[in-house]
Formats: sequence, C-alpha cells, structure tokens
Amino acid sequence: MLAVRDLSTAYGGLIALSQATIDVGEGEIVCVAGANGAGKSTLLKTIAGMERPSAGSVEFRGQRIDRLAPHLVTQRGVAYVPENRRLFPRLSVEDNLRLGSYLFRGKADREAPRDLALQLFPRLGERLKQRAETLSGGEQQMLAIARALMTRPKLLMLDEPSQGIMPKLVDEIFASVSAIRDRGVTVLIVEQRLTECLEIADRAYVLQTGRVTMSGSAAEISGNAEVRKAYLGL
Amino acid sequence: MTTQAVAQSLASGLLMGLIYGLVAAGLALIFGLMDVVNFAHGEFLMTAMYAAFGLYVAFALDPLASAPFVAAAMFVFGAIVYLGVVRYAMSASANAGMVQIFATFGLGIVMRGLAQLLFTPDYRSIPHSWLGGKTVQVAGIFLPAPQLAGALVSLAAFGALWLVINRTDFGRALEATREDAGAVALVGIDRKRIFALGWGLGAALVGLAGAVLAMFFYIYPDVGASFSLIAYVTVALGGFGSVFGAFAAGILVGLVEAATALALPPSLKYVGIYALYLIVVVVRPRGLFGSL
Repeated sequence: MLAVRDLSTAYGGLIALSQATIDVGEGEIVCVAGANGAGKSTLLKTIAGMERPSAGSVEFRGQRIDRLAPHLVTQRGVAYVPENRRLFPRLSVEDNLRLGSYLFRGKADREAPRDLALQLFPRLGERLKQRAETLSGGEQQMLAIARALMTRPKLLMLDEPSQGIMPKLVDEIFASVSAIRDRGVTVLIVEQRLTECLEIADRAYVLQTGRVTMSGSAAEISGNAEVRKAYLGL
Repeated sequence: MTTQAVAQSLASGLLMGLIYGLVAAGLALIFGLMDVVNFAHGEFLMTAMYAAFGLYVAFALDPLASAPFVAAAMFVFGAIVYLGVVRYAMSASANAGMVQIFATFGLGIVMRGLAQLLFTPDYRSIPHSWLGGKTVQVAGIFLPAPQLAGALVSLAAFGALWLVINRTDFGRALEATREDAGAVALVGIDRKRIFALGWGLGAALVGLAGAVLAMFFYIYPDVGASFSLIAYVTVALGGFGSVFGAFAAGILVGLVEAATALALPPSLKYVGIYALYLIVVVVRPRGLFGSL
C-alpha cells in the first residue's frame, strides 16, 4: 500500500533521514522504532508532504505522493497525527471533529467516521462542547486521532501517540489503534515505547541515525538481542 | 449646551461608528487570519468608492443598490491581490514580515497613483442619491438618512459575518486557519485557498463600506488615508485580529469622535480618538477584546 524507497530528507544540509526503505501492506500495523533524533518524525513528515525529500520516492497505492502538497496527501487518504498533535486549541472538540470531515459534503461520509471515533473514544463524546485546549494530554491525543479518522483515511500515521500521556491512557490508545486496524485502516506508527508498540504491530523497522538498521516481523524484532538491550531494557 | 444637542451629536457618532467598524472589519479579519497588515486597506476603500461612483455615472445606479456589486467585485479584487502579491511576499526567504509591509504599502501607493492618473485628483461626489440630503427624525433627533442606511448595512454585514464564521464549514475553516495555518493540511484543507478567500471576504467588507461612504463623502484618490488611519486605531482598540472587537471599537471611536467635536474646536476633532488609542495601548496593549 505504501512503498517508501531510498527516502532522504535534510534540514539545511543536516541529514535527518538517509535512504530509508519501508513498506506497509494493506491492513497491517507497522511500527517504526528508534531513539530520539533517529529520524522517525522526519520519516512521517516527509510522507505527509510537510517536508520535501532530497532523494527517493514515496508511492501510495501505486501513485507517487512525494511531490504533493500536504493537503493533497491527506486528500489521497493518508492521515497524519503529528507528535505535537496540532489540534485547533480554541475551537471546541466538536468543531475539531467537524473540520476533519471538511472535505466531505455527504451526510453519510460525515456521520460514519464520527460514530466510529466516538465509539472508540467515548470520553470525547462527553466533552464535545469543551475547547480542545482544556482536554488532558491523553484526551487531546484521542481527539487528534479522531480528527484524523474523520478524513476517512486508508492509512493512518501516528507520531509517538504515547508521548506525555499517563500510562493507563497509553494502553487505551494502543488498544484503539488495534481497533482502528480491525476497521480496515492501515496503521504506520512511530514510537519510542517499543514494548507496547510491538504488542500490537505486525512488522517493525528500527531506525538509527537516519537509517533503517533492522526490519522484520514484530516477533523477530522483539526477540532480537540487540533490540532487547537497547530499547526494551532487558 | 442642551441635552438635545448632546443626544443629537452622540446619535450621529453612533451611526458613523458603525460605519468605522465596517471599514475596519476587513483589516481585522485579514490580520487575524494570517498576521498580515494590509497597508493598502485605505486604497481598497478608495477603489470601492470609485467603483460605486462609476456605477452611478454609467448606469445611474444608486450606491445603495450597487453596494452588493461593489462588494462582489472587491471580493475578486482582494483574492487577486492575495494570489498576485501577498502570497509571494509571504514566501520571501528572508525578512518576510518586512516584505509584507512593503508589498502592501507599495500596492497602496500604486493604487493611489493609478487613481490620480485615471480619475484626476479632483473631488467627486454623487449629487442625487436616493437618500442624499434626507433626514429621519427619531424622538426629536435628526439622523441623516445616508449615514443611517450605512449603519444598518454595517449591522447587517456584521450579522452575516457572525453567521458565516459560526455556522458554516468555511467559517470553521477560517477559524482553524487562524489558529494554526500549518495544521489545516492535516484535515485536507489548502490554507492558501482559505487565505485567498479571507482576502476576498476582507476586501468585500471594505467594499461595502466604500459604497456606503460614497453616498455622503467626497471621492478622491487620497480619501482612503484618513479612513484607514481610523481603521488601524479601531483594529488596535478592538484587539488585533478580532473582527467583532473591531465592531465594538468602531462604535466607541464614533462616539468619542462625536464627544470630542462637542467639547473641542472642529480642528481638534481627532484628538479624542488618538488619546483613547494611547490610553488603550498603555493600559491594555492587547486591545479591548484581543486575546493575544
């Protein structure tokens, strides 16, 4: 579904991502692991069209998307939840959700993803009138994912969904990611918390200083001695 | 001075204030949306006044009737200014803020120069409009009909604007872009499209104000200067970027101007407005309704 080939991205000469090759198949949950500064966020930003790659290509469902403006990438069916969530803080939860379905005019196209989002995250339903900025970190993450689902994506990309969230909610969010995949949405997730991520993922990649250094099934990666030492603290 | 005279003066101040609010609305809208101050705002107003004048001369169309057409034409003009000038100024690789200021300031000079070239610096006016010279008497107070109509147009425009911003998808997209223009792509919105529509809407509002002013004010190439100065004060008073703050501040400016005219000689009639401005800048720099 998503084919990233030899993708490189540099910020003013500083190479953040170097010849990364990653595949995501339809219906999969793929986890990209790596330490801070390994290039995980850059990978997602580049796929989302927020950064221009210096080399390489990104194909989504057989079509190149690496030269598209970010809103066009979203329109093709790739939803991106960035690390800092980028909600519209002074708008209500309701308005944030509605904005997610801005592209759709039909009632069904708007209500189906909304029902799904509120079913996955019932606590958002209790806070519809509140401003997004008044939500807790975990609730904001839920809203960011819900807003992304409102665009009816085929691929959902999550950047560190567990960051700054209390542990109980982290489990809830990872469980919801599984549920989202079960509804037919493919998921590409970038995480530092490898344990939880590998539990729900089918396959995983490890990024180190901008390069893909390891790839395999979730079981292979979590069984790898080096990974266990470096990331899982075992 | 009688209570009658005070009431009379404040009533005209209120009407003028509503029109000031309408003049400032577009400036506040564009600033709030994208942090760009349109230094050609006065020239937008001037263009709209000439447009209303032209429609009067060519088709004997009263400014009140031509106002929707002037607003529509200004909508297109505003979007073109964004797409042709401001868009490039914003993507300047260095000092984008300065580039924006000079780009819109320069545009204003060009527009004024073109107006002088095409229409000469002569003062024009629309001699026989429907409402020209008429007055309406309410409780012993005489209200000039053109100003009254202008004030009602302003109220209607702000009402419509409120509905657009709070009740439509476009309004929601406008608010979202104003909050975080970099994030609207995440929901598939092209921010440049929203920016262009925002410029269109802002220009349409000042277009409406221009048509209204053409009923009772002289039309000349420099006419925008005094109004835009008041508009900048209004926007700063209301809170930068707050459209409805501009509405309230416009009324305040109109009332203060009228009160000053009562107390001081006519040559000092702007003293009150700028004194108010200075007080707000010192005491409450974010403006009356600003949330900066």
